[in-house]
Amino acid sequence: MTNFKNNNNVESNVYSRKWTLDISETTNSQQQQQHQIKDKNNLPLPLTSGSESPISTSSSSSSSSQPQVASQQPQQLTAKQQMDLKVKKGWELAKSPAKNIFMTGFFLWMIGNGINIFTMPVIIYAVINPVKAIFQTNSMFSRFNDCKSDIIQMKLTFVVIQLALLSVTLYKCSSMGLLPITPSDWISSLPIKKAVEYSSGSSL
Amino acid sequence: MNKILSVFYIFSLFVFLVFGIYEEEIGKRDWSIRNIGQYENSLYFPYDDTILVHSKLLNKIENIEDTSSSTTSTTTSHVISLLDSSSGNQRWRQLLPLQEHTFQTLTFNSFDNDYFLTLTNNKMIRYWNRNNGELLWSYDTSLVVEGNCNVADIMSKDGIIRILCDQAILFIKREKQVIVLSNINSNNNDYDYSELRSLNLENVYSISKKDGGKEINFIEFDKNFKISTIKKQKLSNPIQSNQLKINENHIFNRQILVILTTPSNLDIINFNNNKNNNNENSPKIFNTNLNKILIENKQNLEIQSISSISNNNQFIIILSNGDHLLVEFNIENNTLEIIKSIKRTNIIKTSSSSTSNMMRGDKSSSPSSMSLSIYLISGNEIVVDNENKNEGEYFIEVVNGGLIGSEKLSTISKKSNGLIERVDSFNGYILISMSDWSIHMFKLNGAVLESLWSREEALSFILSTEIIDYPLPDISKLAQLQYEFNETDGFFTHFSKRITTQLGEIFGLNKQQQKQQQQLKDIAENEQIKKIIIVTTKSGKVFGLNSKDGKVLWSIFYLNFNGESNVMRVYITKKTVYESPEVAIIFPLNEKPKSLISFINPLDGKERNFRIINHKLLHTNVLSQWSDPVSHAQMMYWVINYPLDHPSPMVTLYPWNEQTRKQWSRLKQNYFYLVDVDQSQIKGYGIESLADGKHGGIKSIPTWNIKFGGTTKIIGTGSMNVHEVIQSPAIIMGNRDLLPKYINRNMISIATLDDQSVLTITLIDSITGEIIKSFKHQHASNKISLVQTENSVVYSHFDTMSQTQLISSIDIFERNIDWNTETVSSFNSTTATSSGQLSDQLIIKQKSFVFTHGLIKTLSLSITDKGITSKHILVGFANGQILPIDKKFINARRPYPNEVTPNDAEEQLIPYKPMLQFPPWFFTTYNSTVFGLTTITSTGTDLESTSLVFAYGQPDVFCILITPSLPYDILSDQFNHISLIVTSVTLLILAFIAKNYKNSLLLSKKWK
Repeated sequence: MTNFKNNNNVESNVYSRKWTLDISETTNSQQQQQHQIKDKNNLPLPLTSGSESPISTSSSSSSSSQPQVASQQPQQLTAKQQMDLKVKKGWELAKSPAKNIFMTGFFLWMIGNGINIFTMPVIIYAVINPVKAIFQTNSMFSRFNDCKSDIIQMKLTFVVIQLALLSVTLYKCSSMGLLPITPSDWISSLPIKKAVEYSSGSSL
Repeated sequence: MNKILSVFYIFSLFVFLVFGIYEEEIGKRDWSIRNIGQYENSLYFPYDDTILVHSKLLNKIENIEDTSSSTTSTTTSHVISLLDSSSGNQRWRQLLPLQEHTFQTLTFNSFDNDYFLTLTNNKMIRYWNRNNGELLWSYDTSLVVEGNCNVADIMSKDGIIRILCDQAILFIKREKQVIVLSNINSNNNDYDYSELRSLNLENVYSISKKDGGKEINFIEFDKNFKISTIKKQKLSNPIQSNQLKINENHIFNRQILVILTTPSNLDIINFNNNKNNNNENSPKIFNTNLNKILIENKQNLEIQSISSISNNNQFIIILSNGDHLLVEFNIENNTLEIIKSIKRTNIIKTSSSSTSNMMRGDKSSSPSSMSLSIYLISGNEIVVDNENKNEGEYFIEVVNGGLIGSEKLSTISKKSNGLIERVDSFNGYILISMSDWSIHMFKLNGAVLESLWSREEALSFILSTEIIDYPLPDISKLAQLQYEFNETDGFFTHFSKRITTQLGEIFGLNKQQQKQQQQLKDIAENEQIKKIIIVTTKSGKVFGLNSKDGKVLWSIFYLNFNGESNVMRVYITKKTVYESPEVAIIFPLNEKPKSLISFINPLDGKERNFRIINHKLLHTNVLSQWSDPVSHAQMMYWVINYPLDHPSPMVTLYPWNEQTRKQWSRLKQNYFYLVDVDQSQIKGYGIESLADGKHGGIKSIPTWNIKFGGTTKIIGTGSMNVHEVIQSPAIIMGNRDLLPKYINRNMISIATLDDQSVLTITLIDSITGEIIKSFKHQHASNKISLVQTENSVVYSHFDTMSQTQLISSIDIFERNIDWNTETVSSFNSTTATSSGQLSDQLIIKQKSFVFTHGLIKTLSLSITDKGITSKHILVGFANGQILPIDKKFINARRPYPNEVTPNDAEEQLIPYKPMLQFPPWFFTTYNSTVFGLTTITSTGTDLESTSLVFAYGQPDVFCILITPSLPYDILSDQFNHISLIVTSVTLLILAFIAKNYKNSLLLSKKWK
């Protein structure tokens, strides 16, 4: 069962007759279960991002549908649970790149120090992805804006882990000699010193 | 057995294959000139229309390798070569050993023209095959007789050779081994064999002088090669030395012998007479007094010389007033008759058209000049003279049976070739050798003279070279821009220049400039020429050679060059980026101690102006960093020995005009040093003050002096190549740190050898005179070559103890360097660091390598345009081969194998191995050799990867394009341009079609 189905399900009362038939056949408990599942499923998946994504609309629609659910369960408890869940999910998202560090490290180690057409794309993606992720931090965590106490920490953790990922890549770059960090990389800018005096000689 | 043979054949096939590879490469990127040297003598062979030439070769014995050296002397060796009479092409050439300084006889086997004989060094007899120049056998006469041998000839069909020596007459025969048939010794002093000369074969006569040169002995031999009879004849007067003239036109026509005894007496010995009258035992001598044959009113005349005896017993008497008498001796009635008297009253006439020649003390005024000569060629009388017309042209008068025709020798003139040295003629050919060492062949068809070929043999002794770029096609535009946008001018001058040139362009006012530009354009249109190699030669001739094929583009001859000094320097004073390049040629004149500085246009070899220096020239240099704002010419200065032997010699700045006078103090940046080899000391000088504001005279001041002691001799000096471009100031080490190079363009290296055979290499800063470091080698010979590049000094020396050729490198690095300063001053150990310790400033490393490929003659450096390509050391071997070696092989930082660190490995330093070996394909000379190789020079080309190497010696010249680090900016010859173009075009078309197809497909899909 996907989110889309659930969404359709919520709005089916208005637009779809087919789904109406389905509701009529389900029991309350079933509905309740369905809602619980739906709420769980409504939580944004870590892989998705962007405020215009269908997930964020579904989350807003789910919040609009909460009064319907609340009519059957104690409202405060559900909200707290939801917050907990959200925080939990937020932290999951924040920490999710951590497991990539070792994978990326291993992968970079495996490709060797040679600079060629096969290693370059890997290195380029390994550099671009963390940078891109850092820039998209805000939009990724926009769903958790209501977890006010933890959102900063979540973001920071996410950025730090991404930076760690980047540093692994940069270390690789430096060991490949791609980073101009040694004096030898700046040799072309060093001046050839001009002599102040000139000398020449002859044999008698 | 068959298997072994087949294996052998297969292997020999590989050997041929290897040679095949070389043969394929030769001449693709290189060219060479195989010279034969100064013409001496020749024999003509009508059978295959060839001439066998004996020529003299001067060899340089160098004490100092540096190009600025002057202490060189020469020795003579000899060359025999076979030339094609009609084309001048060389069929073969044989260089006789260098230690054989004298050449006595070149004679061919009259019984078999395919063989000939030479006698050299007064003892070496050699028998050669004429067709291929193969040496058949040789024999050293000093094994059997003492003293010198002077003449040799082939006596009979059996190949019996008669050799006339000081103490003996030797008959030898060669049959598998040399058999001495007879060795006639005269110890009883009855006969003096000195100055024995052979007369002819059949009668086996020889003559000698005795009794103060008044007696002639005719020695006859019997069949057993023993002396049978000796006939004595008294001459009318004692023989003057070297006046013996023997008719040598043809061996069987030897009929008379003319001896000039006193200035007015001729003794003529008639052998024909003797032959006819067998009763008389001895040849008759007929004395003729000049007065008897001369007309009454010319009684006071004397005979200057006699020459050119023809087959019909005609010869020429040259009188003291310059008149020539053509006389004939009648062998029947023994009388001398004048056939023709040629009056030459004005023999010596200066032919110079310009005053410059006169001022330079033209050689023509010297009495030795040969202005007129008469030769008898196959019955024709030929008069070569330069008395008439202008420009010192030579004319030939052909007197043929009363008809006199005058023909201009079109290819030679006194101005460009100097004086006639020798004229030889055979079978209608006239071979003229000139004092500029050139050989010219003419052919006489009836009375018409045709020039066949010329050889510029002056190239067999090159003194110095310089390579200049040929202007690019759009150079005229560039030159104009240079003229207009000169930085040193003020705004208003700039503006007015712009306006005038613009107006000039519009109205065509500036015709002079346009003309010049047009000329330049015309020259530049010849795209075949990329560079001109300017060479100065010992003969005094300067050539401009095309770097592409070695063709002579122009030449200029300095008659008054003092060839003994072996110094003729070339400096580029104006490069081709300016509209008219200029080259200065500096050489000493015949009148000591004068020198001449001649400014020529290197594109056409025309002299622009010149300057005579009246004092001994000690040193000259061109200041590359300072050019005259008016003429764009590089400023130059020279140091003269004035006041005579004064401790601070006078310096002259040139050009000296108002602008340069204002800035004369810029010369204070310049220092110079003089290496005194005799005193084994080096003196350094600075510039002190303006001494003569009118003529640019500046006083120098002695700043330092290093004396190496009495027993120590300076055997070599090395300095940085002024053309070398340095690209990187440091070396990148394995850990990617920098190791700064110690680049001191003023550092010089001096090689000295003491009486204990200890070679010392001393590195000196030539500004302060401070010794940076010195290295010692024991058991060294005096053959050393030095070359400096960037922060290294590479030198080669021969170890007499271990009999090995060593090559060493000293690499110098700086410990601490301040990268922020952009200038570097001279080395000074006391002020540079607080402690004053050398070890605090510099890291100096040295390593020696054993060279296994032979004796090293010279070292040089490959130069590229920008200095990016790795530097190679060009090693010239004594055997005439050239091997470029990457500096990384001769590197003092090469670690010992047990001390190699990972950083060294990362830096790709090759672990040290004492032996240096290179595969044969590293040699740029392939399997050919540059005979007598002495010097290698190099210059960069338009392509950074390529370097032009010009090597020369005595007598060969060789030029090649090398790519030290492979041709990384050149497409290979095999590169298929067509397939590249076809593929690109096809892909382009396909991409276009595919794009259209995709669009239409998309559209149709959307319409569905």
